[in-house]
Amino acid sequence: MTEPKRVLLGILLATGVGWLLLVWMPLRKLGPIRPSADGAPFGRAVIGGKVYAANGCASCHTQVIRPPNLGSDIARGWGARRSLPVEYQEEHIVPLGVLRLGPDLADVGERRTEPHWYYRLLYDPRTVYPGTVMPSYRYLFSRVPLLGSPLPDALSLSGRDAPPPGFQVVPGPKARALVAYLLSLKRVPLGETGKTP
Amino acid sequence: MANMSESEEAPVMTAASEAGSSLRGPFLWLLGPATVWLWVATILALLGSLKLVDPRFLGAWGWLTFGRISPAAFLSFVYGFGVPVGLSAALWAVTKGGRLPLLGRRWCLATSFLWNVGLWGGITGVLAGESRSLSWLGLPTFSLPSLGLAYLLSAGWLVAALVSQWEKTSLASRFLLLGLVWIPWAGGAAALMLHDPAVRGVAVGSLEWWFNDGLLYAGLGAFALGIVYLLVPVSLGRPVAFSGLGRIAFWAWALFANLAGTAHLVGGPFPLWMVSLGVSSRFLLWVAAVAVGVGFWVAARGGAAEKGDWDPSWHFLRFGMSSLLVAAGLGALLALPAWSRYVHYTVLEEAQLILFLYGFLGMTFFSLLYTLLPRVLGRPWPSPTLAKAHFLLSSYGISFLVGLLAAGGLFQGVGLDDPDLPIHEVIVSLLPFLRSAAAPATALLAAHAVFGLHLLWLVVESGSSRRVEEEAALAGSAREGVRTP
Ligand code: HEC
Repeated sequence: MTEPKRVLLGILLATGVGWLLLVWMPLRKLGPIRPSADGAPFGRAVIGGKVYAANGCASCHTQVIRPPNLGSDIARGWGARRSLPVEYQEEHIVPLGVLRLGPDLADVGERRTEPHWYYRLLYDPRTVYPGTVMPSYRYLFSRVPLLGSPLPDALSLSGRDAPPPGFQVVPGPKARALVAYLLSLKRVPLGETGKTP
Repeated sequence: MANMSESEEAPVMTAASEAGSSLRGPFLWLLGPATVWLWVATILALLGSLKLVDPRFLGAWGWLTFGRISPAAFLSFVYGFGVPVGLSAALWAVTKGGRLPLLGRRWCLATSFLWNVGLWGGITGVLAGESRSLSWLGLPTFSLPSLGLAYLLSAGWLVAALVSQWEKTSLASRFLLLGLVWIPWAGGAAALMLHDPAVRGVAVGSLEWWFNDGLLYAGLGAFALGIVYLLVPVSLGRPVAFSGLGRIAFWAWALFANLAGTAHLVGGPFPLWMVSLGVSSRFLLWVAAVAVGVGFWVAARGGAAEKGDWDPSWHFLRFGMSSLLVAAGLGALLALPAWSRYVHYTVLEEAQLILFLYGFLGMTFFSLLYTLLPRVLGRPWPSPTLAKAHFLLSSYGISFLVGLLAAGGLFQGVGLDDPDLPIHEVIVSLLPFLRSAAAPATALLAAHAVFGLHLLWLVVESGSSRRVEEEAALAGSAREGVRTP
């Protein structure tokens, strides 16, 4: 074999080693080995995961609870113990995240259980957290005519946010899916502490 | 070191002034759109930083939301600017400033067309909300066939050309080969796996990071190191020293670049061995970078640099190498658990990324462009002042941007580590740094605008003088680069 061919083969092998160790092995060892108790996530929550990814929530939020010696995640109440592989095993989009400009969301469904609270946050985060850097996601909502009494989902808005008279603001399908996804984020049941493997 | 003969890294550009006009088209097809992508990336990045300063800036349009423009900025830089310049480096290495066979020309044109069409679709898709948010794998599915085909058309031909005219000692060819082969190999594997329904769970995370670090180090980083080995003989008149060490560094680079990604997963839901493998690989990458760096500075000390005139290519190259050493070192140190506890998920990690992308890759790529374009277009850069302005604006811009983010990241990290400090206050303490970072980001935008105008000037001037020169058919000094050693 000539030298360039050896180099070429070496490059292919080196890349293959990375693939074997960091892709194939985790898939074998950490992937969906046994069906999870609650089954795979389905319906709105799955679509919501895509909405979460497509709108880049992961550029400010992580979904990983680190063990106590590697950060204050647990002390901050973001989760009861460190994240484990099984908690992600049915997910196709695994938004571990890169930057924390906001709280970790691995377990947000345990902390915040009220859909309306989420709608309000997504529509105008500054009404929930004054002065926050979280942007508004009002493009996921729609303004519809008010016929009779407001729809059950309609946001109660006041001040600058209020829609013109005769209209109401309701979450669109994507906002509903996103909130269903956030509500489903209960990776570590509250109170459960566990030994890390 | 005594045997550091001239032949080791064969001075590639001896026939520089012969640059046939046959190369003009292919390089301009590749590099013209790349410059446009550079602007797109910088404008998007600046918009993103302004949106962090005030989230109400530019209202609440979905396609301009922070979470879409900030990945779009990184993706346009890497795929729009980085990959075409990497391909140009390989093209330059195989043509040696000579002529390009007709077949190669057609392939270059097809590559440029398919690549840019695919990327426009892809970036538009990210802004429209089609991304799966997998960092460097974030381009939407529909753009991948066009991008893959575009890459393979050129890379296949370039690999064959590199292999057929192999120079035993050339480290440049090795690094370029690594970049050419790694991107389609890993990109193809990653794209196929992501669309396999059986692939789910945390393995998606490690797949993502295998690809992320691989693309930066084994893909674009290898192109940039290849450029270093190509350009040092041109700028200094002598090759990078210690080629034996360089060969070892090459193999270390090829292997550990593939294993370094899991350093990002410290504290994540992964077994310890995976994370330790990542952290130690980051260190070994640093060692490899230092090995190349030592040879670089030894060559620089004895070389003919700074013979009076200001050589833009050399300044960009030196800034790039320094950035590589710092960025690789930071990449290793920040992943150590003792540090990671504070700095993980802070903008300090972003500072490291920016230093690697803009400081190392970007500046090294510019260095290539400053050497290559005048030779290909047959005219020197019209204005040394503009070249100098470009260098000063970008070097200060990058330094301040990285410095501000690094300092802000330390505040953020210490704040996040204190569980009694509400997250709102942590971010408030970070905001002054993010706000001031808009200034160096603007300087970078200005730098890229200066470069773009300068390039336009060069292209127009060379176009108008081409006819005259062809008639004269003289290899006079006017056809040489800014500074030919
Ligand atoms: C620019 C960064 C940024 C982006 C992008 C962002 N957020 Fe936030 N988010 C924050 C910040 C900051 C807070 C905390 C508010 C505060 O205290 O200022 C927060 C808080 C939250 C909370 C409340 C968490 C808790 O523990 O109470 C939820 C839920 C949330 N965000 C969801 C989302 C979703 C869903 C998206 C994407 C559609 C998103 N965020 C995008 C910055 C961001």
